[in-house]
Amino acid sequence: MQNTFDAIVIGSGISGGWAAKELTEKGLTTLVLERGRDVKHLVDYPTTSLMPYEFEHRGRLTQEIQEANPIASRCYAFREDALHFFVKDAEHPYIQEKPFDWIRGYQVGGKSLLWARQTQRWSDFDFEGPVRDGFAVDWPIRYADLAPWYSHVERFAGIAGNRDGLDSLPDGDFLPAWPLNIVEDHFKNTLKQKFNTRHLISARAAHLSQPQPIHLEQGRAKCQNRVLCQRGCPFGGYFSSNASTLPWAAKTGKLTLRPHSVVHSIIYDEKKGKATGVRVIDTQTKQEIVYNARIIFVNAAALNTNLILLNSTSGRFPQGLGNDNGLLGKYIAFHNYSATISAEYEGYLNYTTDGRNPAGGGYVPRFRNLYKQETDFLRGYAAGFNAHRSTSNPRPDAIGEDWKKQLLNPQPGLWRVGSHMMGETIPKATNFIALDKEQKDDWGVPLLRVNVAYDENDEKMRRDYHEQFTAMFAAAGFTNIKTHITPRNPGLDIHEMGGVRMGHDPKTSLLNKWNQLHACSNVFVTDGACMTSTATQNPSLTYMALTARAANHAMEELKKGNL
Amino acid sequence: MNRRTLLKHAIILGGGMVFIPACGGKEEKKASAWKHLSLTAGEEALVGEMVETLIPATDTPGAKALEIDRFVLMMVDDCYPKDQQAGFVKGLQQSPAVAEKLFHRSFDKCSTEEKIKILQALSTHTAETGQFYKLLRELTREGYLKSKFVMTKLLPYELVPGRYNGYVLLKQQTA
Repeated sequence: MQNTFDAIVIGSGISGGWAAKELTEKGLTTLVLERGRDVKHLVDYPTTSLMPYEFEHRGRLTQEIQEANPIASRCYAFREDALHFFVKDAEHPYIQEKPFDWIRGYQVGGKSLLWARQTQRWSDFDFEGPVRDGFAVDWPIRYADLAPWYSHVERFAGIAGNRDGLDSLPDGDFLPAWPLNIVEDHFKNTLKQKFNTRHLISARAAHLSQPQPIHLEQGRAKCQNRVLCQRGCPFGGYFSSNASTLPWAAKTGKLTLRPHSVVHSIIYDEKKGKATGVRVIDTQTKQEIVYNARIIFVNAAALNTNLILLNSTSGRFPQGLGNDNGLLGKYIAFHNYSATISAEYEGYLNYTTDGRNPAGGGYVPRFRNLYKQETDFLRGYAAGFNAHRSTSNPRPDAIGEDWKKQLLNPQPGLWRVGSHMMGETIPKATNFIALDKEQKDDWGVPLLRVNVAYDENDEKMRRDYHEQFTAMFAAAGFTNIKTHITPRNPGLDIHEMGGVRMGHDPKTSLLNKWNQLHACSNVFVTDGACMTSTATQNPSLTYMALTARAANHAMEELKKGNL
Repeated sequence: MNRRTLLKHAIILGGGMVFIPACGGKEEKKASAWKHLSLTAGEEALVGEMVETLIPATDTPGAKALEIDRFVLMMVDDCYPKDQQAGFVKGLQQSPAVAEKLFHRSFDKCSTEEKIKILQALSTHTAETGQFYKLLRELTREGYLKSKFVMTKLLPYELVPGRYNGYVLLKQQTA
């Protein structure tokens, strides 16, 4: 295998896949390094076509697996049908200075196989958040910088959604939306009538509701509403690196994909003043190999991207690559998913639903503190909302023929409605990750120490979410409203971000407006690590757009001879 | 039997040990090779009688024919913590006394009506029989509804629906 490429991409997940696609399409020979095993689309989805009764425990986890994996077991998708796509706790230890559930997918495609596929654009209410509300640093970009790149990635990935005309959540290049059901529409209309700045929209999601030629060309087909996405989709109905960007990159003939490759560090050449390559440990042979390239994209997933940079020390960068200001690894933030609310609805009992909705239902974009500060906490929250027709429970004492008859003739019960909050958290220097000074993993890479926690702002926001949604639910005529605090550690939202934030000033940020390290311009960071703040949106779409934009800039700079 | 259990047996056999029933002094103490549960063949048979009482054969197979008893025990063995397993076994072992107390015969000798009354009495007999019955009923339901027979013949599961409709008008229900 050759050792020199035009570009190296570290990581094959949702952003690494995009880097691979963009760079190879521009003609650059590109090496994609993945620390885990290969997962080929269609070929390596062992559970994808299994019926529920074909799972020994009908989808459940055994006690043995749960006890061995307390962290992974807290993730909703860590179940019998998708176990094989998650890192097991004992395989890759890390140190929790404070409880942090780090959910990881070490394989080709990474977590893009497992993601919840929710895709919303940011708006300037989000990009201008830090400067308006006085936290973190100002984002060096605004919505207008990213808008064309959102369109670029939406058209290729395939995003189902409506053009809702909301300034808090800009419209995109959408495929037809999945419909709301009758009770979701009822809630939507209630908000419209009684809460004029609050909206319910059909959740925008990366599913091919109506494939276009560009999707068919990828070998993908219409989403078939299986809603078994975490197994890998035999139709390519949802977007993943495996189904979309990686095979596309491979078709250019410019892609070299190397699984089983842990990146130990990035190599910095002091004479050239730039990075020249990466040091890789082959996980099967434990052999160390150096690969060289003109540009390097770091897309290892937020915390591992931080880890690689922290571990890339040199005479010039003793604290980690690009880390002149000592901020690398700091200002880690996440999403506050710690509250839900549920209720029942006694209306529309003559209606039900049929089939399954891959988008999951509705989405309430952030409405709190949007136009101006109006509460005693900073920022706000978005929320999921969905309704489903329940099945009425047979009498609890039914036994025998009577019970059998009831089980085989399920009758519709009340509508059940539910919502979960997705709150913005404020990046703080005290939420940070660092390398352990002594303990190393099997590849000689220091273990990560994680210091990330909720704060008072998060608690206030959670209370407000409960209050506001209780009022909104009551206005819709929902009954039996119950608020729930779902005690969960940071990390379980699987939206960890920051540590290598973007900004205008090299003194207070690590990356410039093109996602280049200020101090080492041929290294680009375009995964969650680059995020200056978190907003409320599910972040993957923004990583994709930032990656495509940065790859385009990299190519322009290469052409100009600047890299 | 899962792969690990098979593997264990293979290791025992491969190691040249004589494979004898693990009955020791008592008669047929271990009927099946569960990882954690220690049950007699009689106790396992009682679970079979009970699941069949919960979901009897009618014009379609009952729980026994669908091996829901095996499913229940496998799930308790694999998917529950030790204290719940212990409570389940204790409750099961206390159950014959309920049959004796109510009808002066063993469960399998009782009529269907009597069996139903016994199961109902388990809920309140002791904490353990209550715990046992709750889990038995839950797992019987899950095993039955998620059995191949029910999911293909009676309430077919659609692996590939290919549609979503949020406004389906229900037909007037016939009670």
